[in-house]
Amino acid sequence: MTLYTSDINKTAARRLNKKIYSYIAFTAFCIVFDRIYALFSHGVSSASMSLMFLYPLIGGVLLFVLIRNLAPHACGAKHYRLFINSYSSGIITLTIAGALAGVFEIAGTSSPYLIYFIICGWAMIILGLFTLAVSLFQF
Amino acid sequence: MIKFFQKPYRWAVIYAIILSLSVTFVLLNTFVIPQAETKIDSSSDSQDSGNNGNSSDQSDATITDNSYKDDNIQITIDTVRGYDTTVYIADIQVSDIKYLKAAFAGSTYGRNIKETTSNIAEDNNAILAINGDYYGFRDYGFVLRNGVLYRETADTTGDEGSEALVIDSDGDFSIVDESQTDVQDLVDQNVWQILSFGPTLINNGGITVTANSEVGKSMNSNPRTAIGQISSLHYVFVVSDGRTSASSGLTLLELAQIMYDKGCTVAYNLDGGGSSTIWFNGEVINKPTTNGDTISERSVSDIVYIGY
Repeated sequence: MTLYTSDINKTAARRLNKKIYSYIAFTAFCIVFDRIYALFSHGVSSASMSLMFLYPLIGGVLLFVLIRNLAPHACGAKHYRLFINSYSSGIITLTIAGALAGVFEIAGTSSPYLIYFIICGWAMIILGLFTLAVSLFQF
Repeated sequence: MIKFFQKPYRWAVIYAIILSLSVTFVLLNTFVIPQAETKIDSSSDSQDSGNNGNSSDQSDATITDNSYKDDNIQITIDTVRGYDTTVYIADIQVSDIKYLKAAFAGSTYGRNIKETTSNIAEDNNAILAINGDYYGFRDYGFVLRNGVLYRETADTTGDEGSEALVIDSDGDFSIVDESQTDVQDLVDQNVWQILSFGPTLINNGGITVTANSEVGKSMNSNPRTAIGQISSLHYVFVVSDGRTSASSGLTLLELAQIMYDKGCTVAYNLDGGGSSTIWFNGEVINKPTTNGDTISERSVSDIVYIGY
């Protein structure tokens, strides 16, 4: 069987759409989580928690929409799986860091360990984007 | 290694486990695991001079349901209604600042070491006690109690959060900005207590909060605890109920207004919400709320109390 370019693009678009829908669902979950938590926080709010949905929205939905529209062939790149693993882990780690920061801010406390989530999150995002860039360059 | 993680979901599963364990550890470390740093030896507690042969004074005390009086300490507690809330106001006159003390849960300085206000009060033979600043919930903010410095990390998290209440060796209250203060200077001045929560409600005889001032970003009425000075060795503890059908709670401005009406020249907000507790002569007299609106005492790190 011969796969034509249009078939490859369709497959890539399907995979990327799946990613986009996953990130939309994750974004919605973050917003709902923040709203539900607000019900039990006696009016105390936290920008870290309220804005944590931006990580999956901008870092997830927006990036994968751009990839789908501008470089769908990235799906077939050699290290695409490494990019997905690293980048997605980074987004999730930063989102969880936002949630934890919100929990701590609302409770009026802090943790010295929160910074490690943020460092790990950004490190994985940078690694993921670097891998993607290298893959696209080699493609 | 990379090949191993190329398989779908392998990385996701492993990373999810690592992340879950990390989050669990951070939450337990922050909220649950006790981290004792200093055990307080009550016999050598600070520069304690208040207990010098005064134990007999307590036995001569005149005690009623809402008052206490002996040679060194006079306390009168009024329960009033205001702002759709029950407010407990303790008017205190002491002969020496050493009778205004602070105590830690379990007589131990550290994080996540907690007891109810009433337990800490009973352990220290308090006459009157309120919850303190819950220092053990944070890693910053000066902690100096009964003349001993326990934490010198300044609170630099916010404008109002940087304000600390200083009670000097003469018993006079003042407000300092922690980020601009060398705590060692305060130690050298033999400061008696430093409480770090805030914000300041009254300073130099004027209300310093507005309708928009709140702890964190809370815009709600809440149970509150505050301490203020009226004149030399004349103080007031105020605790309000809240989060119940009978009492909505106070905003900081309402709390400041109550302190102002009592004649306070300096007043300072302490930890509130579920922590707000006032204990007198063996009884919790307010209705502390825990886990939302359940009436029960929350465990806290520390108390401020009147006693020998």
